Amino acid sequence: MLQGTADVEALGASAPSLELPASEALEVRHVDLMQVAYEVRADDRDALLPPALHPVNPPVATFSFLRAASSDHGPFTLAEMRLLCRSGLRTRGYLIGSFIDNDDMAAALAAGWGYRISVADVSLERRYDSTAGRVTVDGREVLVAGHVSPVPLSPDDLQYTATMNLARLDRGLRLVQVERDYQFTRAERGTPFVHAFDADVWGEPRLRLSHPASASSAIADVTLKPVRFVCRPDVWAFEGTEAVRG
Amino acid sequence: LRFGIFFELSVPRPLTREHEQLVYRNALEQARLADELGFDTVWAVEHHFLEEYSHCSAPELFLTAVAMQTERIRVGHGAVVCVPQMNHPIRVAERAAVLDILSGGRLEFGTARASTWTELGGFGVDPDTTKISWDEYVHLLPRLWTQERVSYEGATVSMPERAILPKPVQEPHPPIWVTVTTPGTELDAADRGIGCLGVAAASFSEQERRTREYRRRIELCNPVSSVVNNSVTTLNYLYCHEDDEVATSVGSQMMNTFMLLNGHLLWTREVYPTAAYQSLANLAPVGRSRGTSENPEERRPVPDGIAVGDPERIVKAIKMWEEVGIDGVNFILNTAESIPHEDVLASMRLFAGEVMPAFGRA
Repeated sequence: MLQGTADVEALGASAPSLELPASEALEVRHVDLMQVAYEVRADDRDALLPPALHPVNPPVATFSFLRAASSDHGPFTLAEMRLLCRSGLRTRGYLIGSFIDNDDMAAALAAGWGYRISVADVSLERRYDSTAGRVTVDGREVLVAGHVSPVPLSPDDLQYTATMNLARLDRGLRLVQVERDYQFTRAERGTPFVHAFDADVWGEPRLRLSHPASASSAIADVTLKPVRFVCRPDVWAFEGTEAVRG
Repeated sequence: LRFGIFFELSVPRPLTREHEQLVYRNALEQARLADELGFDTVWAVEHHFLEEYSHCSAPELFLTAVAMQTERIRVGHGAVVCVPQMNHPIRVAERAAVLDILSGGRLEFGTARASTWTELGGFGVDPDTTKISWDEYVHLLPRLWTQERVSYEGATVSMPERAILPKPVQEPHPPIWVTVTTPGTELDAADRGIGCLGVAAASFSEQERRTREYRRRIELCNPVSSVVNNSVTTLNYLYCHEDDEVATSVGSQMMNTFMLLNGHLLWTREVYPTAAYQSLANLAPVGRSRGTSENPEERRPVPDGIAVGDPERIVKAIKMWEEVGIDGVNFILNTAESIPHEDVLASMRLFAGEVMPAFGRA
């Protein structure tokens, strides 16, 4: 069966340190969301993931944007790139990297949920016939992704999966299970595009996009839940899952 | 109660050509033995691109080989994917008719619409359209099999008037089924007067509810042809051994392998938000989940209702399904060759000798 083969210590070289996983939820209301799913070349499918995680066939990367007009740390726009995978039998996304335009929120996400995150210019623009997200680093666009020709969906049709963030805890390197609760008030699906993507800057030069899958956007209240579980990155989730408290 | 065997044709890693050939050879021998032992049907899935989980991409060829090597057992498409990018309905009708001829009228014809992004995306299928095309197929195919000439204008397929040749042996046509993965498909089956080929996880109570609803609704059906196939089957695992502990150990390994391979498929729902795919259509059969009781019997890693154990235990398990009101049980015999082939054959023999008689089958 498919299983990640990445060297855990090499992956962990750029992992953030996380003294104490978040015990309080972080809520943001009335946020704009957008996610683009894109198939990636399968050549390095297994080598991109730690042994705890299982690749899916075909490998799919997701680019997601979250724009909040207000939060405890002020307004922010967050962009994440994940690789879809399995943890045990659970459907998950492994965080490759993320960018945000708010220093305080960057610190909070790294310290509480183990986000590998950098500050950059991040934007999400919704228009009548399209939605586009942009990440600009040192004046250069490293991601332009979005969708055109949106069609309305029922909010029940959307399903965004939990994320596994590799971080260094007191107990060692762990995959932090980041769970979000979404209360969608509007949802739509469009034809996806990626006009710019710099895999090097996102931290995984082996990722090569191959084929568009889908794109969706939504308006929702989002709750980043307290961390309940972490998982050793070097063994299967059945063996390596640990409760954070109690 | 009818008993069938159900092939995914899963292949162990490394995915060598030799392993693929071994899996096909073993499956053919298991089908021949099933024929001798009195099993009713050999089912084969249609899947594409599902590495390791299923290398059964041309089931009509596999089933033809089964038909030519057996005398009595029925051969079942479990099931043909009814979307035009994968199977044009004319080709489906033609291939099925030829298989019915070559098998001497032994074809069971299952229909499906695929659940994974791997398959739908691979063929460039719009997931929003698969329920529509499936519905068109199940209405169109009986006409292609029974009418001298057919023309058709539909939403997903159209054709000018043509004579579809040859016609099947069975009058008016082979029994039609639909694979039931997501809740609600049993109602689609009932409304159209076709059989429910259960391939998804369902508890006893859920299966009982679905079966009851199906029976009630099929009484009011608007059938897709002149015949109604009022039948419900469920999917199960089979590993039968005189020693229950051995059976449990070997069988649970097979189940775990199947559940892992199945659980790692990339479901359409995960990648493509749509009302047409509302759930992750896990196919792993399950029974009641096990607790952490101090009673060893309650910690047994095989849930109730799963046909893994000694003959007595399996009789008890199948009786539970019989009480639910289903018409048949189809068995997965192995997964990725995790059980040695000879042991699979021995399990089938023991089942036929010790379990089948409990259900009036000699």
